[in-house]
Amino acid sequence: MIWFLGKRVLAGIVTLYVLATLVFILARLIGNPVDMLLPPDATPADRDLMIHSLGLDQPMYVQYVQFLVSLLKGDLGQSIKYQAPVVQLYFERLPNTLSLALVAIVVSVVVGFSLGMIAAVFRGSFLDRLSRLLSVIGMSAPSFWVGILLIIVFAVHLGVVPVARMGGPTSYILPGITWGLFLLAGIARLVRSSMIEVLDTEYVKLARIKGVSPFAIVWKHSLRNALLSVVTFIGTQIAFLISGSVAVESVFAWPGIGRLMYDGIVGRDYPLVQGCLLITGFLVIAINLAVDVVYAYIDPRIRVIEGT
Amino acid sequence: MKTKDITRRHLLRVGGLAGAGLLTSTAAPSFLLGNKAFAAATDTVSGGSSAADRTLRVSVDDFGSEIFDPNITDGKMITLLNPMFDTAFISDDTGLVPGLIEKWEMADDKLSWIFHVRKGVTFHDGSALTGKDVKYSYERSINPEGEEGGAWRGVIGDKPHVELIDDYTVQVFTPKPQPFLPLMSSWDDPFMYIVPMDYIEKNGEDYFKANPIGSGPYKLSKRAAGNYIEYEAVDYPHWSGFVPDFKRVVFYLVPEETTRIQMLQNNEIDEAPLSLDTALQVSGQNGVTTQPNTYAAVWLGFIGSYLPEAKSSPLSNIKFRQALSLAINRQEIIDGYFHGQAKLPPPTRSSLDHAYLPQDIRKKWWDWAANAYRYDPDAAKKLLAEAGYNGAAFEIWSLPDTSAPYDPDLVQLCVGYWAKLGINATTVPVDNGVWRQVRHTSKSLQAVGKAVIQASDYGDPALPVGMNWWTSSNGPGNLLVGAPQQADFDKLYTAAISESDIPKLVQDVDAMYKMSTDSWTAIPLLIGTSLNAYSARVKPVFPPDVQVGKSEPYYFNRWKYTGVEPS
Repeated sequence: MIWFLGKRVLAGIVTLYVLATLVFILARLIGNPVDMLLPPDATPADRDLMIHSLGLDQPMYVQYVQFLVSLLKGDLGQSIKYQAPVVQLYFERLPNTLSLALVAIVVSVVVGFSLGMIAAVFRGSFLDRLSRLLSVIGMSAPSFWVGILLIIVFAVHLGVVPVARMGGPTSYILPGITWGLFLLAGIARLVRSSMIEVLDTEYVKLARIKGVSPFAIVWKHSLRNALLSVVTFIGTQIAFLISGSVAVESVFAWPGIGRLMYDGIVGRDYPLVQGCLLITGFLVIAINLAVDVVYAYIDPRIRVIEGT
Repeated sequence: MKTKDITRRHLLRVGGLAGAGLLTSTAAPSFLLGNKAFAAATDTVSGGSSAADRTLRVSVDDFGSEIFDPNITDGKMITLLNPMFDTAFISDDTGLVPGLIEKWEMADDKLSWIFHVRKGVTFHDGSALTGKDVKYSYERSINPEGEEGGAWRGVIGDKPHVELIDDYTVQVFTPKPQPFLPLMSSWDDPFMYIVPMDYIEKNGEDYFKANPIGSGPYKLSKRAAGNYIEYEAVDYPHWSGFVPDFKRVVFYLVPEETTRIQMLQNNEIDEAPLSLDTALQVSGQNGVTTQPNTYAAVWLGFIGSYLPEAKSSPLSNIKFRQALSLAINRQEIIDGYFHGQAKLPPPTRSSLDHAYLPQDIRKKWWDWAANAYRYDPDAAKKLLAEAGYNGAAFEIWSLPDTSAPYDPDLVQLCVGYWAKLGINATTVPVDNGVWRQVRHTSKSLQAVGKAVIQASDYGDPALPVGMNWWTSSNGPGNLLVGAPQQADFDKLYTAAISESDIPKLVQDVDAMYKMSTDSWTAIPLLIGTSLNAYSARVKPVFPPDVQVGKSEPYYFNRWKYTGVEPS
């Protein structure tokens, strides 16, 4: 177990190192921040001064080493635009994104499961076709468009929820649905296919022959066995949810991670972009590592195979 | 043995519960438990019988840096800080009027100004605003991290020399005569907000950024990063005599225009910056009114036209450039595209209409502009034939500009006019980041021989400064670079920015105008405008009609309550 754990932690560290290097290189490809930050009539002297104060006059390898050393100290630097520590900016916005993600997950799981099960149980029926249609729309309709549509119908015409902005509980409804729609569609399709597979198995057929009620067959014998792949899917999607959604956060004026990162890219604020990517990457790697460890703990076969 | 007891299902359950708990706990402050700040911002009472319970809700498309220190923040945020800070000087269309600085005079040697500070003004913590705060603010203005730091270093030098004569008298020294120092210290670029010295020195810069105070009629009451900024009117009479109609003013960050429209129609906000067409569409619905919020002089610049590298471009030919101008029907654009809301262009990229310039020179150049920038396709064809450029082609760079969002459309309209004369102009959308890296010909020649659309603040506080685009050192576009008249223009510019003798200044300005307009390296298109839409609750008292040369007013003065609460 210790060998397995050490190997996974090491792999996590290597992944983080590769990610950090990639982020360092890619962030510098988005352009020189000085030209964006200075006013149009700035003098060459102003430009030189800012380049020096940001340390951009150092050779690239020096900047890289400084970046890695700071990273080891847990210092992700200062945002150029906001002139505040990146870590502080990130964690100021993270709860906003996570709270919205929670709503999106709840919406998508509840509705997605229901749609998928109905489609599987009534395979080939009108309900099945309707469910599949909704899934296709959910996967293909752009969040931006869905968001605007929901605003017009539910906020402007029906007046039951606010148009936008983060505020009381009702403000979470429209962005939560908009963001959850894509995940919802994926869950519905996966539940449907898994359920259909399980419903065709011999033990379910036997249960039917034995006269077990349809309700018990679906809920007790089929759904639980169809759950694993769906849970895995949701797990992977949560990693994406942590990084926020630029489209949803922009349409609903939501102060989350997605928009913070977008502002960083637009403003050539590469410490901010680097920091957001690294923290998000770290969180995803840490979650994956934890899941791997838990799986190995539950199933000894995994650590035996990995250990060889 | 323990592994037998703990199954995968158990762990999934525990994991699920832990995950939900984690998400809930992070979300709880705002979502489940009811964060006071969120609740306050969301549930603000929009109506009310008196200013005491009235809130004005303003949406903006960008908060900029969200730094609440005026000396290191950016242009977007400077505007949003306006309710909280007072500028040293106030200017209106008559020139400077007494504000925090009640009286001012230039020293005999013209190398310093003496400012007399108003007594009885207090900061939001109750401390008195005195000369030492004015001194400190000027000394602090050169901060290299600030957007205006460079501009102030150019005016008062790298090491500002400011002396406190007594508690309420300050002497600001300048390396060269600076006749426009008071004008520059009003509400415009480079502005001069007065900050509290003792408060900053006692608490530190970081504390000041997080808990800023000023002497303005509103104080910062709450904020949530990337979400909103809330100001509350001070509970004592403000020195300016300003009595707010709204107790609270909340700025909401709403980046998407579509969302702003829906919020306005849903009575969730009172003011929204909108594009022209959109604003006109919503105008009149549910009592919504519109007013111009910015005017910008839009012009086409021809970069490095005199450089040898531009020779292959038709834009290197002065007659060709003039023909391009004559081909454009500006009035048609104003009437059709801007629905009559825009104006004919000024003589060149900066305005002449400053209170300190006599009327006759203004009239002379506006008359000149009316004729020079006329629509005359026949004259354009003649010039093209003389230049030998019938059927020529060139690139025009289209830049996104938040102060002039209509710029890309204007480029297309120009391209259409030019096509009628057989000129094939290709539009190239260019990102601002790229433009800023290549705009200076001393760093890159990529923009040489190209046309680019630009928008300038309309009404620079000190006119000569607005002419820097033609100088060799400061001009980012270097419009005269390589031109034989460059050196002469540089000399004129250097003399003009330090000239306090008005007749001599008029002479310099006149000569600069002639040189810049004769070069046809910048063709003004028009004075464009964007609109703000207002809910029925609000009547914007400014700008009723922004007059040429009038500086931006105090932002906080803009809103009056109409007494109407929309359904």
